[in-house]
Amino acid sequence: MAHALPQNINDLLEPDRTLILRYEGEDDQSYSVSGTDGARLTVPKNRNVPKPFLDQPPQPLTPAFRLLAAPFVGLAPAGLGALVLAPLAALWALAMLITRSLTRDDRIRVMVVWGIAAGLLGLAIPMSALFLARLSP
Amino acid sequence: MLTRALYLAAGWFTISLVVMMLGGTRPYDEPPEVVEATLRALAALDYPAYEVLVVDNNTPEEKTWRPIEKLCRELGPRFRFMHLANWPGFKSGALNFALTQTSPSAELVGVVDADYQVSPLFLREMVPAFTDPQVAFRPRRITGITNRDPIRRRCITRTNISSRCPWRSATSATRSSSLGRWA
Repeated sequence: MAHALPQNINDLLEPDRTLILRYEGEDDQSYSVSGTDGARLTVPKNRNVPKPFLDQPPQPLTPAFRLLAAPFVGLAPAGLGALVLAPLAALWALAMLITRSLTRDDRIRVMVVWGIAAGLLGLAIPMSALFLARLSP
Repeated sequence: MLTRALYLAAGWFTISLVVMMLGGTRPYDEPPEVVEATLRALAALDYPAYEVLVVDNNTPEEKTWRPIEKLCRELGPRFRFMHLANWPGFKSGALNFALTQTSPSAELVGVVDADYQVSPLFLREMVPAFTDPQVAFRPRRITGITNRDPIRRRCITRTNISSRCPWRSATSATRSSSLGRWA
């Protein structure tokens, strides 16, 4: 009896897990079938998968965030990579701010890019200085 | 989305397993108890992302396929049951229709005959091979047959040994993007 209740709920929630169909015909594109109630259904043969979500339009600041990933990697060789790449990311964000009419959210993202770039630059400058000092005779 | 990405990174593609059954009392039919053992083995698979479509192809007597339908409900949401009546094209005809009902997220489609029990690690061993984009189809070595009836077993074995077409392999998986239609 304890098993019966969840099973009944399961049946109510997912009635479509059972298909009882009778073949009526087909053409190149679809099957024609009838269900238990006699209703005729058309089932497409093509298993083209519909996209669950529409493609996102390209975001203006996506390249800037991608550029920000590069300075993180650039920190590894004594900060020299970040020294070059962090300003590039900041400049890209600046270019977007000037040339496009950005939404409020995107303007906040510009600030975020600048903040992270400044932080990375702040790390890169002393690291590079130490590295160069170590190299100098 | 993250879960799906992790599955793909681990080589765990989503797979739709199609189980073909033809119930009845003729020598080539699968008795319900044989199909039940097959489905219970599939329910015990140790794999995170799979569904099972049980396709009953032209079984004439309702009393033969109803217990299997009930069992599919018991085994949970991974299992779906289809009874196809008056369906042309024999097994391949029913397989072609079953393909239209597989989950849209299934990158792989597997075929398991109703009288073959798989081991719990069946998919874990088989699916990672598909991380190689050159791999589109993989048959599975058969180590045991459920059906103890010597006449039925001989029929099944001969069918598979004489098979030249990979779609007829009793237990196999195919990349769904490379799958056309069963001949």
